[in-house]
Amino acid sequence: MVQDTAATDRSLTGQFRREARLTVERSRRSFDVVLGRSEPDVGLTPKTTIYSRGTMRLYRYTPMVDEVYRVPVLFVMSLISKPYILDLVPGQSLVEYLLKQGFDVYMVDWGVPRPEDHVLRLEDYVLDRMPRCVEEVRRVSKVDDVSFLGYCMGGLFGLLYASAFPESAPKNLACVATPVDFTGMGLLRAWADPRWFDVDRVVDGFGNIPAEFVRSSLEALRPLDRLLSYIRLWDNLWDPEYVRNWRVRYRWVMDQIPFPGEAYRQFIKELMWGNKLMSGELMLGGRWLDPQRITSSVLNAVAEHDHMVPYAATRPLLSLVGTEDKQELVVKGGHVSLIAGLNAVLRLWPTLNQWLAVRSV
Amino acid sequence: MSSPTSAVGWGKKGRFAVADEAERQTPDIVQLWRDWLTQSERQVNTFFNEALGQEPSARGMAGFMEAYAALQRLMADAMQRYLALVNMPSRTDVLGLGETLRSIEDRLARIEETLQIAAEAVDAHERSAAAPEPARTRQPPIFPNGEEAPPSAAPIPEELRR
Repeated sequence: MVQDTAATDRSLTGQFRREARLTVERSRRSFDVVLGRSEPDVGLTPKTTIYSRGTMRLYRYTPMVDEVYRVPVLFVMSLISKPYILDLVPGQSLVEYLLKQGFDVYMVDWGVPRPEDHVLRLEDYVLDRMPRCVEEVRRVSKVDDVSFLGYCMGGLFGLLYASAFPESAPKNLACVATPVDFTGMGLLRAWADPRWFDVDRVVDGFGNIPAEFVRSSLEALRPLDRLLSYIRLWDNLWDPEYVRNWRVRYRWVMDQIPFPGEAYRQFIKELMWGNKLMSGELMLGGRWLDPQRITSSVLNAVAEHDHMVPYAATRPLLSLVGTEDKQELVVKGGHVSLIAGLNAVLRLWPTLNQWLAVRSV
Repeated sequence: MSSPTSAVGWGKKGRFAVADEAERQTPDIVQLWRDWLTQSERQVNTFFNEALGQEPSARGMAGFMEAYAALQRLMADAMQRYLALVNMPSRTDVLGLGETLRSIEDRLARIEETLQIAAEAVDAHERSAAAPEPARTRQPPIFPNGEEAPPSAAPIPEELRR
């Protein structure tokens, strides 16, 4: 009763009392965060590894219903971030959501590249490993059709795969926050300008581009983000649910992985500098990748305020592909909240479910 | 016309009414601070976006990365010479071993594929061992008028509402 009064008392004294009470609670909980106690587990949805090669793993998630849609869904992750953003914790997991909606879900996890993986090129992923994964999904599901769901660079990989193999392209291709027009990449493009950025020296010096560099570049896009995130955490430290949510997302943001060197070199030269996907000149492993040949159904989900992959970089995707059945979904929010935040739960996930469901029979 | 606050000033209930009116006029300090924080964040982000997009900043960022990479390379070269001197394998040697292992892994993967194709031809063992699979007959929800169901609202976790 006393607490209720304090919570609703808006006089200055009441506000002071409430803040004092919350500060005691904050101080108590701050130890959990600082000492890393009760760290929430992520990626708990049951799965089995059905194929592996090097650091790459292909998972099949255990179906959660007795009757699934005919067409399986293959999640394709980015090279530079860990896939558990799609399977954070129960209730905040896109994987779990789609399983409950009746999909047979698979995921390509590229893993953390080892030093010797610096030689891997984009074609090793798109023309070699992805086709093998698709083949494996077809074998296990005994269905020829597959839907792709790619997040960030994973969407780009899905697009490249579908361009490279139009004859065995996915039935449905859902791209989330996928860059295609690299002239719209804002600061990342400015920093990588060929006039002052020598990608050869960087790759030759490092091998794989260290994870700290990937993270620092992304953090530099909004230099105050981390500080403000701590301030907001302090403000909400009294709330265990907020703290849990903050911890899993913070963990993912800090958990970057190195960018394989040769793939990075190609990424910068072919896409960031050459913007060859837009000009239709992209060649990988001697194969011409023409998105106009894509006839899959395509969904382009973009975040309006994405500072990592701005709207300008994602918007032209639909104009690139040759298919008739294409749709854009613009969601308010940022790069991460698009796939794992409130926008995701409210808008993206249900739309994905509906879009895939009618195309998965 | 008397204001609600002047009309009640005697009884216990009246005192509360006066307090309510006063409270309504008292700003929520913490909320004001939160709004200020959000607004400042926007302004600072805009400032940094403009500043870091300028040529000197971009040149500086690229220069730092190159310098760090060059330093890394220099240290690696020096370490390699030292390790050769004390007859120890260098990072390059270990990477070479790693690459050899990777090519073995690739070969194994190809052998595995071949075996799998062979096993599928026989198929019997795999089928008997396989766990029951869900039926692939699910249909999307349909409305009586033939339209597909609108996106079903997933339950929103409480923490995401904040």
